[in-house]
Amino acid sequence: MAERLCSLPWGDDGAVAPRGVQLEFRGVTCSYDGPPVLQDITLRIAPGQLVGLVGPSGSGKTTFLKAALGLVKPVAGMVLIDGQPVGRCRALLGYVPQVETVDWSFPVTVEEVVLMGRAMALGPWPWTSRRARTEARVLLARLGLAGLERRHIRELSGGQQQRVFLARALFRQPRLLLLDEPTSGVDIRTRHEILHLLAELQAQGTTIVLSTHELNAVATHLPYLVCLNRTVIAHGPPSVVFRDEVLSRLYNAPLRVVREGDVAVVIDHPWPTTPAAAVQESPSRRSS
Amino acid sequence: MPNLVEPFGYEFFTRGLLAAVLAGGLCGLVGVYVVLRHMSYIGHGLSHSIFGGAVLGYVLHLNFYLAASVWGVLSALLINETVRRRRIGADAAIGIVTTASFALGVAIISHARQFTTNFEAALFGNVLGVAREDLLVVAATAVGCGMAVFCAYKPLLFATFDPEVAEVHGVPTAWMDTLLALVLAATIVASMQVLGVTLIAAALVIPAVIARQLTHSFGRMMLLSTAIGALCGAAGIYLSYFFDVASGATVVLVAAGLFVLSGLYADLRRARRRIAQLAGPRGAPAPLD
Repeated sequence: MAERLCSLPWGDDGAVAPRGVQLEFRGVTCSYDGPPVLQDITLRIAPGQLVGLVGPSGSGKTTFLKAALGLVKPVAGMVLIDGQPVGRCRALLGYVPQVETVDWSFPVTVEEVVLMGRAMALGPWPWTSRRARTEARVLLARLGLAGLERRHIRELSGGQQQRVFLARALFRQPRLLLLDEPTSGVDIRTRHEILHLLAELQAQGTTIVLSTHELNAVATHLPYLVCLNRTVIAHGPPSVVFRDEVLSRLYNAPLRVVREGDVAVVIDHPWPTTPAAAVQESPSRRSS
Repeated sequence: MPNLVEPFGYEFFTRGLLAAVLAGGLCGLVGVYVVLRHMSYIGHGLSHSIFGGAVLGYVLHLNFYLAASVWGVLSALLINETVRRRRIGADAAIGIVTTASFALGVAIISHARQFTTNFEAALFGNVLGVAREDLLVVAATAVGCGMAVFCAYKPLLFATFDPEVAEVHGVPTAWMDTLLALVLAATIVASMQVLGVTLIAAALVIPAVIARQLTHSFGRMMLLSTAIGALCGAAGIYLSYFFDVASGATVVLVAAGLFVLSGLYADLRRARRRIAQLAGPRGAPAPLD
């Protein structure tokens, strides 16, 4: 199954895969009428890189992606794609939102969702050319979704749903693909399939940025990580950023990294070292 | 035994029937977006708001449609802007703007009692009140709104399903929202005479909800909802003639009856599918509902 999913979404029929673009944050600060969610982010993601954004809930991962998409305007700094302001480069972007944000009761079939990927290019009227529909079917087949074109999106498994939205983004042939928690709520096999597929896209030259909160299951398998908690705490390959002090600072909680050969496993400590210490920390409990 | 073809001999009836079919179909078409965008309350509020504008226009001796349209467009844009900003609870803001506007209409009517009967039609719908001019307005609005929805089908679908990603894909979502608000205002103004402001919200919502129960495809839902709206319009006017009741009420009651039937049909279909799945592993996996 994994081999089938890893087959090229484009390229093996002679088409040239699109080259990835560079994403650059230059002193970017973002806020929603309150304290900054992202503060003074300066970062450059080279063309063709596969980067994971890690950090706790509320650390600004989604805001980072939305700033890269031009959906959130920075209050300071600028986001550049190949040196151009993001607003001028939207045609190069593909976005896969969190599946939790999708309205699953909306009446759309798998094919209708994928065709949305080129909604503006295919003409605004109700019908779609046979050629575009064939292309959508080929893409779906390459993502392991053949025969599901007429199914409602709710009738699919979690992994299939995730891939439908990936297909919508890929149907546009993006040069920068941004994914918000693409592996949340899917089983281990689907997670592997999605990661293999992203690695394959990266090998073809697409720049990919994905957010994840799964350190052991996802982040450790990615070639490059950005640790984000309002500011960039650290960045580099997992072997560099997976260190006790970096992760403890990132999560504001004691975390330990255990290494077994090339694999790093993060272990958290949900309880203080001694139960007595927890009791002593609470004055009310002490008095009672 | 009443003569079932008798009403077709009257010009006012055929005119009213045609207007109801067009208004019902138009409400069915626009209602798809109203339901899927969770705008039912806006539809309800906007229809009440327009009533205030229509009454004010009457007092100022302005053309009914002109006054209602200007008021409707202003209300729609105001509501749209309120919803986009989201800071002041949108539902509360809509409630205030539209109910205040409706109250203005009621206040003017109660002060100058002589035109109460005329406005009963605007409140509850009256097939007898459909003049040649009204029919032309409904027809023109139906063609105009139909064209607008047709020519912006894909961007409207994307902006309705997933506005944020639609924006990334270059869909002018703010323009789509404005277009829909204008289409909704025009639909309500044009349907007021046949359906009545107090009942338009149901004519907008019910056909779309019935269609949703019958299909999973957006395109098919649009066609079905339009057809169901037109059918309810026709059946409602026909029954309104025989039972001598307000046309808006019969149109909505027919729609509500169809809704009950479609709900039963959807339940039956779901049960049959479950039984088929339990009987054998072949075929499609179970839907996750």
